[in-house]
Amino acid sequence: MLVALTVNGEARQADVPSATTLVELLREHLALTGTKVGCGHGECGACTVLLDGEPVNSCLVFAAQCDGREVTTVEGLSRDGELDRIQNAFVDAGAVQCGFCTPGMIMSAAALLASNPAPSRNEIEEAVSGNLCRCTGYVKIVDAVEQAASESSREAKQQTERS
Amino acid sequence: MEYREDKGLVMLRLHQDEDLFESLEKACRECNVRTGVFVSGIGMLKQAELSFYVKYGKYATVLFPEPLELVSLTGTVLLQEGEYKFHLHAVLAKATKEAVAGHLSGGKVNVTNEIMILKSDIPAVRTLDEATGLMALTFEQEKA
Repeated sequence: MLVALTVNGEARQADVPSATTLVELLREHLALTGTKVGCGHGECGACTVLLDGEPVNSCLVFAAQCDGREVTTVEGLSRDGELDRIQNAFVDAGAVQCGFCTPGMIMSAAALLASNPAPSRNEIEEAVSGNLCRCTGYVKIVDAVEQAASESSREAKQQTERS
Repeated sequence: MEYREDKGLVMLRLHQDEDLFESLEKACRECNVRTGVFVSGIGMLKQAELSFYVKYGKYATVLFPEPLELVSLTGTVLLQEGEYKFHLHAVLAKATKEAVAGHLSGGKVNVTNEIMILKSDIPAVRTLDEATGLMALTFEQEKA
């Protein structure tokens, strides 16, 4: 079946078997391997991407359900080879150990900050509660999202002052 | 296909390679089903199609071209303007013991299916729900 969708702002299409999942489409047909497969059952969140702006477990979504829709993966966050503010915050805060859960964590954080630019620590913990990490203990991950949020607020404030 | 009917309950046995919906429609017609409730449905399918709601009026249909255990089949059937309208959901198990589930839109029998339909005279039809684009269950007005 032919699936046509927008991935990271670019029109893409692929001829895939009918029961192909979104994560299989991304990794095996579109060579976007930033999205990881952990459990394959929607429990670990490693495969989190944005579908029309909403975070989804891409192992639980069929490619056919994404026809005509917009997908954002972790590869779609950077601009001109520069990491975005959430990715930088993860680096700065040391919120990465093995790194396997990181793309999913970052995409959940991106969804949160898009809808709630100044979340509380509890709201951050809630937003990444579907993303399991077996290395870090989560504290630095929440720190990183908090840092990214405060940087966004500072940038927004500076822009308002300039205009 | 074989069936027996008693006290409003239609018990069906479907055989290898039968088209599930063709056989269900034939049974409903022969048993004069006006409105039917799928009380139980188990067996095995050679392949199946599940559909998933995407947005207004649009479903994505996914073909599973492999033997699947029919773990559960539930839903309704309504006779509307001479045609049977099925609304069936199924839970299907793969050989890997993973389950997939959704709106069943096609299926072919593998070995056997055992399906129970409870007949009713409740006057119901499917009409377009403007909000979702779906054909929703609607009760016909009683004739005076």
